[in-house]
Amino acid sequence: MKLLIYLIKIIQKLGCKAEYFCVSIGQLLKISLVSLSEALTPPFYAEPFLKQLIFVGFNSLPVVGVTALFTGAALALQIFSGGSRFNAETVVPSIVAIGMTRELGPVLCGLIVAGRLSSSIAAEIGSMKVTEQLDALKSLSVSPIRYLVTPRLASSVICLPILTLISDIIGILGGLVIGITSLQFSLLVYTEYTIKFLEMSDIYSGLIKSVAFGIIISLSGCYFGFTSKGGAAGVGKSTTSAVITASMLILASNYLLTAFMFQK
Amino acid sequence: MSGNGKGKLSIDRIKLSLDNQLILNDISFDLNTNDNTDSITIIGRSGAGKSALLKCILGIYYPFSGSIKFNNQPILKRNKEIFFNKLGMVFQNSALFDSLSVWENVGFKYLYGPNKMPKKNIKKLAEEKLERVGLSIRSANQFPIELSGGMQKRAAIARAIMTEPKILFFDEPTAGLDPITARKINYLIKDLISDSKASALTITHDINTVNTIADRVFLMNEGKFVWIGCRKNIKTSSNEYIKDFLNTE
Ligand SMILES: Nc1ncnc2c1ncn2[C@@H]1O[C@H](COP(=O)(O)OP(=O)(O)O)[C@@H](O)[C@H]1O
Ligand SMILES: [Mg+2]
Repeated sequence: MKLLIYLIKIIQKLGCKAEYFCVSIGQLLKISLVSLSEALTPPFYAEPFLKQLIFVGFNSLPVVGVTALFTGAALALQIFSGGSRFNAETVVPSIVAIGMTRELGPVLCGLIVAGRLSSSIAAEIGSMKVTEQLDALKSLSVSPIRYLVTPRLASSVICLPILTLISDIIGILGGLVIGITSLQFSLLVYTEYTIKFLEMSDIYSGLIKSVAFGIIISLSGCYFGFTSKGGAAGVGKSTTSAVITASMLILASNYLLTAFMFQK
Repeated sequence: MSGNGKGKLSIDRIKLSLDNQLILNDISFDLNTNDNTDSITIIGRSGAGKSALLKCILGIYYPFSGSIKFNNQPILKRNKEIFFNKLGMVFQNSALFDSLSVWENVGFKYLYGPNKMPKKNIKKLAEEKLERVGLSIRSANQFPIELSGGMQKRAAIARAIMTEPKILFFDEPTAGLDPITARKINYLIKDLISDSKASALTITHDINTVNTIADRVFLMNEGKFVWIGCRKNIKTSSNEYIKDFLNTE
């Protein structure tokens, strides 16, 4: 008997969680659809958009660049030591290039920007929510989604591919520096191998992924901002949730996109 | 404008629940918004549901029964535009946008709302409004965080009157202010509503606000109105809740 009650309680709890999950998905879909429709219809708010563009794109450059540089360099060392086990040291340039453009460039970029941006979006919108600034927007006949979500969504969708491209290039350069200085490649050979085996589709596929990551990052930041409640502590919680959710979704969607794009 | 039901905000038997809790229970009243101006204050303890009532009117919370009408129609679509065009609202903690300068806050509705005008004109108009509420032009280029609580409240009032609204909502306009500043804010509100011939709906637990600006007073307790009357009758009322309210002041 006790066991039965216990079981029922568990099922009830699961039911509540499932309901909460469905409601959240519904809200997220609503935010996405509304912001998409408002992104495509006037009025457009240029100023908030430009502010975001600078914040997302320009200010992320240093950390994205440094990460890519060291990752490319480490990758070159690893592939060299791995490759030398079967006398295939010459694959270093091409594997570094393919690894950076297809996987590491977009994913690292996505994760770094998720850490910076989803958290700051969630914190900003969340604190606007708990201080009634969102209500004030409505009372002034301005849609919070149009004013807050659309510029963030648009700027991260534009910036992520650009940042990814930059991190591709810097990562490859990182590999090149190591290749020349400690792996006995000549500059000519290294660049030749890089270019020879790198296809445009490697680059495109990474860029397509990064667009998806841009959407995930900005929407999860906005979603957790809009749904935060309970003062400063609530805002803190939603900030953390935004980063974790965005990172998980980036990794999961990275796998799905990879499987989808290379399954031929 | 002053025909039947025209120029009127009517709240009719609304009930609201949030998180499975009944917050508003059968609230009804009318606010005249035509030439026959009106000033209602709603008083009551904190947590009574006063702010929730305002948020229902603003369309932020949805009552599960009853109706809220403006000009005899639900506040939706075109009527919503008309209503919000006539409305100015001052929120409890001012709710200024902290990423924008003070003048951009004041001019926000013209900068980003449906009725645009050139930026230069907006700034000029915003500065006029700031002067009207007793702030110096110097504060126009400051950010909200640089202002004191009383100055922030003034800026929020300037933002509310920017479009010369005929309906003004104030949510606890004197909360958190020192008594002297509170008195000044009360008189400012009184002057503004009589100058602009606007109707006001003010939420407060400050008896001085009631004495300065109210025509009619509604006392709310646990989501219900438990006393309704004119300002003059407050002092002589034998109602338990009113006595309680006056005592705690
Ligand atoms: N978003 C919300 N979710 C759940 N409960 C809420 C929410 N907003 C307000 N409440 C509850 O509604 C009641 C009335 O709140 P409010 O209208 O802010 O009171 P006040 O009269 O002080 O303005 C309070 O008990 C509060 O806890
Ligand atoms: Mg309140």
